[in-house]
Amino acid sequence: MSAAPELSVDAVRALYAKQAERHAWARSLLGRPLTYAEKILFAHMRPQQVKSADDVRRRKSSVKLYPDRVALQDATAQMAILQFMQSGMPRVLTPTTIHCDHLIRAQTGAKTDLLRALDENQEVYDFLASAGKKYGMGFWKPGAGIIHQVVLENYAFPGGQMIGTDSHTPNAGGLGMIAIGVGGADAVDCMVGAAFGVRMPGLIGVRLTGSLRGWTAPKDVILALLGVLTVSGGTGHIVEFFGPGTANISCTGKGTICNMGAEHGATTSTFPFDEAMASYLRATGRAEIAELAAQHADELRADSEVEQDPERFYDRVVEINLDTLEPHVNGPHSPDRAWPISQLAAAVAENGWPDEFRYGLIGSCTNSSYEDMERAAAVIRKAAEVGVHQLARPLMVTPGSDQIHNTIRRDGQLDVFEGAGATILANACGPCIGQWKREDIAAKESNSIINSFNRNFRGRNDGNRARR
Amino acid sequence: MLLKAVGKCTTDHISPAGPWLKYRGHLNNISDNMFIGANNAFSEEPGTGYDVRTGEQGINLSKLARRYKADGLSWVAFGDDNYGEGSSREHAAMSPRLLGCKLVVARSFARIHETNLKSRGSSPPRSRTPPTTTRSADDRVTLTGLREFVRPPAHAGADPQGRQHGSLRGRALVRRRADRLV
Ligand code: SF4
Repeated sequence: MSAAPELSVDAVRALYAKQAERHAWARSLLGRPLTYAEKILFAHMRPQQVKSADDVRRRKSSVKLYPDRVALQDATAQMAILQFMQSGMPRVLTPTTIHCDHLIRAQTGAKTDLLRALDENQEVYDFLASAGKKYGMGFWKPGAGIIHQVVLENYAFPGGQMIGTDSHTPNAGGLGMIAIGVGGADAVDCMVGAAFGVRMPGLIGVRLTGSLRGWTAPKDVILALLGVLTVSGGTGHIVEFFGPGTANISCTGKGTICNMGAEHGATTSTFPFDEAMASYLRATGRAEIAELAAQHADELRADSEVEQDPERFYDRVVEINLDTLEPHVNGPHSPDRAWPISQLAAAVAENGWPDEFRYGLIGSCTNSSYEDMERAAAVIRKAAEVGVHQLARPLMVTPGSDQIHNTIRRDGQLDVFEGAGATILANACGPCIGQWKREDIAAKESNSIINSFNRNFRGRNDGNRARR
Repeated sequence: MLLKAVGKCTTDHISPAGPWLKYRGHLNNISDNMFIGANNAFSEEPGTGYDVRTGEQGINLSKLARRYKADGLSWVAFGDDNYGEGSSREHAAMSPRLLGCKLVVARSFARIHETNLKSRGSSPPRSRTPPTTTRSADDRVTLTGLREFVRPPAHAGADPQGRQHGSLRGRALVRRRADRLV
């Protein structure tokens, strides 16, 4: 027995075929309708392991989930695979993929950085590639893309459940998954076919109304939510988005929102299936899955009672009106320091923060989709319209995957970036994980940078030594 | 006590990535970065502490931990709220363990890091008493009730990785006494 790494339409069909029955079982167990997150969780438990509602008490009971997929990134995969090898099993039992993205150091640009990375990390890459081959895991070579973007483009599907050895695994919630970040030991459990044990999460419902206007982007939804929940407010909970506003956000925009849910500590975040997801599935070569999901749409969203009376189903309900949501800038040093753009200047002045941005960075798994690249390019085009043709400060751009890199080359955004003097980095984590050989300032010098990443902890992005 | 982390102590404070990733597969080497960004209540410079036996100040925390370990001393670390926020990297749990940490006590933990501490064998009890009540690194920590704590449940067995089921469940009582070591 083994599991091929590809996303199998048959496996999705099999899951969808049994989920209605699982949901009925869960409804009778709890004696009430279900939210979307609950539907996914219960479809990934084994009914024989759940005797009563007592076994699935939120924030109390430990539950066993059987994920559809496992994803590993290169910095954490090494240990996970070494542990898997100890099990003596010939192949992984849950579809697993390995993604080489964390070890590429940003210095001079995509081509040269990649060549250097191949040289510096050859031993690791060779090990991961050969282990992938031997144990039946998919292998994405360095430069292929950032784990979460590649997963969204290839493996995520509505109603699925996956785990990944990276804290931003929840990114796949953009396609309606329950995707949970774990340490390597939990991943190995699933690779050998055992369950993933987790405390039954509480549920935070975020009701979105209206639609995004002007400069406001999906990222601002999560930046504002971070201001409400703080960096620990999501701990032990799944954040489930619902309400009429959800359908007005693109699939990769939803991914951005779920990705950064890691910053308020949530176990994961997710959105119900909708047309935005279906069209993303079609655009990324998964039309069959889009169709299957559409046939099962009722099972891929909360029961209708939930929207009528959310307080009854969620431990906490937060309302966000997209119509009036302002663009946000969060920081410094903590992702929950949320500043609506209208308050940023005053905050900078009041705190005496350096008010000149020394560097701009666009990318990371949070904001490196095609949509994000286009949004950034549009700003540069707008600037050109008013006569500003060259960037005043250095800008580095990291496309999320090879597919995105090729598409922005085809569609012209790459030329816009390069024409304005930006540096295009390899499709990888780069400066987001401190893989940036920064040379423009002295170590420890106070300075401001602005980026589209998810974390802004002191000293993280540019690897400058932290100070108090 | 090796350190009492003040304020934010994320996995980037405990085990930063960036240039350190080149030691990814070498636990002993990467452990030189342990707590390098942590603000220690017992020291001015982040990432440093003092030797409770000699009073020597400003020692890099991984160096200090190695010294204790070489002399057969175990140590504990205290954190504040949401200790281990951020990444899933297991080095943030493995390095302390390698260098002699027996226990990490915090008011609350981030989920993934708490699991990592458990699966790597450092117990992470929560302490309702804020760590600020601890006065100095010379305070000693006594763990009681351990026998109860580690008793495996009836169905215990080793899983494929040899972790003991249930071995870290339950609540340990953490009692601090201000016994001076020197
Ligand atoms: S881009 Fe940054 S946050 Fe995303 S997986 Fe890479 S290091 Fe982590």
